Amino acid sequence: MKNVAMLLLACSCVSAMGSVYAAGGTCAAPVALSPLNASGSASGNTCTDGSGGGATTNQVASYCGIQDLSNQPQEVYSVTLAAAGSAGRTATSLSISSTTAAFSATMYLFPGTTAADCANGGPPCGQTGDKTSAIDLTTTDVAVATAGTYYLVIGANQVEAKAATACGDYNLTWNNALPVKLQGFSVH
Amino acid sequence: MKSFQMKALALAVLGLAGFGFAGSAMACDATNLTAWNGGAAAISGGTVTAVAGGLDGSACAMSAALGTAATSQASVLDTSPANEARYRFQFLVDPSHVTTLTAQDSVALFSATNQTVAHGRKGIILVGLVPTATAGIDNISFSYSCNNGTTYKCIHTSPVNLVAGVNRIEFDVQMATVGNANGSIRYWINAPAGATEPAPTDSVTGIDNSAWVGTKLASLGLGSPSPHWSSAHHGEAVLFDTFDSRRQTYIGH
Repeated sequence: MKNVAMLLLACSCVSAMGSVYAAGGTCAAPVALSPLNASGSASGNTCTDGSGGGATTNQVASYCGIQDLSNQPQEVYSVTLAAAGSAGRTATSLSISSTTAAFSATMYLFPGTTAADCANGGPPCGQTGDKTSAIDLTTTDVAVATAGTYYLVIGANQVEAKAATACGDYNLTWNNALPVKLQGFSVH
Repeated sequence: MKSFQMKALALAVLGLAGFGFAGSAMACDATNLTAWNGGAAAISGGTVTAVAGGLDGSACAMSAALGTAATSQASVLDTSPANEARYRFQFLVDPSHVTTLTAQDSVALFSATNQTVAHGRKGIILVGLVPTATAGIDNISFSYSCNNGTTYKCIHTSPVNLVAGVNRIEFDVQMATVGNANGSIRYWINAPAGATEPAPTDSVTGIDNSAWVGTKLASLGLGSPSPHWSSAHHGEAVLFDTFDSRRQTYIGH
């Protein structure tokens, strides 16, 4: 009879709580989620995070050349990613949730380095995710595989984009897949 | 010199070819796409083929599908426009073979581009397929170059949805005169039959787009997929047929 004992220990110590970030900014002044290696979260409300407690302003009118996001309130983060598959990119997914039922909280992650890149909204189009589908940061899709800086725009989807209810609260979370090291192994 | 009717390309030509072969089996193959002087652009997993069953009753239609890459393209190109300050185009499209679109889906169906770059852009208009709030009912939106002082790109969504199956889409794109915001985009979705121009389905006026001069290259087919289209709709075919373009007069049918 075999008796297998394994002890797996994380080789790095990261707070279970992770980093907590505030609401996003604008294309001109995004809130940096950097380097997105430790697990963390960010939250905001596109209905109330704007000037005077009102809705935020539209930052990206069109995404991927065709999707009409004009008029909808949005918030913007900047994200620095190491290359997919490298030791520097330990986060594997980026998720969004919202308690505003009518709000189709959607994430638009695309490469760019300037406010104009952000406002342009791609292409390159990067990846998208919403309340039912996380962004996979392990993908080999060239659009998000390359090391670099990306914009993460939070808003509604293109179908809801022009509706009066196209805003709401959101909570972004990303994990940190801890590097795992085999510390002991024996067979009896 | 080109006349008012600049050309009736490719899939309309396919129909004529089919008529020419009446009484014998019509072959729908790559030779049907040779009317496009820019050829086919099947890039990064994209495919462009001629298939039996034209959308206008002719023998063949063009079938375009994309691969999984963000750079995938499946289109045919017309390089004959000569910096057209006014460019009308019409085509038939049938997206019914594509599985139901989600809110994260979009793909380009047609583009007209300028010869040179202005404000970092060459595109004059990019017409795309987008979802609606009703599953299975699609719509079109289009982005176009405009002098808004920031992104130089504006976007508009049709207030009228497409119908299930074959749709006839016609656009009339007029460039502004230099220094003026008098460009316009008018369009018709499934206009009634007839050669007399009816009121457009919708229009955008007051566009300052003179920096982009006029149409030099037209591309019909699929391109610029959204990430979700690439992952969920790769390999799914959209059918096109009966492309026509002109400088001045309404195309109709």
